[in-house]
Amino acid sequence: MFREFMGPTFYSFDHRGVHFIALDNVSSGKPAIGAEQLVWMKSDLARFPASAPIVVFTHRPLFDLKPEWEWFTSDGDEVLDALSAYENVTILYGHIHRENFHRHGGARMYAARSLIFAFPDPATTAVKKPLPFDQRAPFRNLGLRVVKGRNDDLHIEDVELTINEYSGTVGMDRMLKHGKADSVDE
Amino acid sequence: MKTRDYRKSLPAIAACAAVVLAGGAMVSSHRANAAGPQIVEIKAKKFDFSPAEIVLKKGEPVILRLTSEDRTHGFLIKPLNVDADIAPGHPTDISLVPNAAGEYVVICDHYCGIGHGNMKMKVTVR
Repeated sequence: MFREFMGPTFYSFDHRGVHFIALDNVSSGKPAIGAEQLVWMKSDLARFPASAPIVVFTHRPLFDLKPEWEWFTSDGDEVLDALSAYENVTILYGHIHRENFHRHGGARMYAARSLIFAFPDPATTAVKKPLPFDQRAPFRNLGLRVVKGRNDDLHIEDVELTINEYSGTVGMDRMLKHGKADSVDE
Repeated sequence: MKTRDYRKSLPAIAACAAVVLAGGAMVSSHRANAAGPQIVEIKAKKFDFSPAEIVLKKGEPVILRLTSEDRTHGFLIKPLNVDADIAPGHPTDISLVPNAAGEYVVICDHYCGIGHGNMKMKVTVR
């Protein structure tokens, strides 16, 4: 039904000189990109020079962050190999419900906090279980992450959630204005 | 029946002298034939594997016979390069010779519902 109304789950577009690629490593049920997307992605990339700025969106991390928690993509290394020919690659992903930064060659990979619940740091516990809700601090461990700039001038801004009288795009605009600057890399 | 032979590509798993539940109880296992590898049966259903733990002997071949009681599940032991799907009504055999002792976490890597994220079991190789 999603494809019927929203279109393909993997696609690309250009915006202000940046090439964006969305990959689907979740809707098949398996943590994988699959041969069809890999062929498509390589073909899509072929028309760009090595210096082209590229941003890739995925759901799961493309590297082995925590395989026992299904925080990986089985053929993610093939995606990263295909991207390794490009000098300015940024990968934005979710799934892990917490912040993370990882570099693979020249590719920089960022995960942001979730808006609904947070997972713990897998280095601190063997149990994959959402962090408990704290009534006194309902937005603890939740929030947005804004990646600004381009190429080597990326700037990461973590935005804290607040109770807001506005919703939708107006509410989002107001929330982003209250965001605070953070470090470039973790 | 689907059969995947990992013997050539895997750092192997060992045949099991005993298959042990998490609580320590023995469960039955049998051999394919008098000279063949031991067969260890593992059942998958939302959101558990049964038994929850098996103990294998290093260097001895074993066949893991996987069945699903409800829907398609995954069976992933990433350090051993084992990745199979288990469809209901279609038992899947995995042939292994485990060479590296250790404890390995098996996860279901085929989304099966809201409890999927914690569907796992343990394989110990001694």
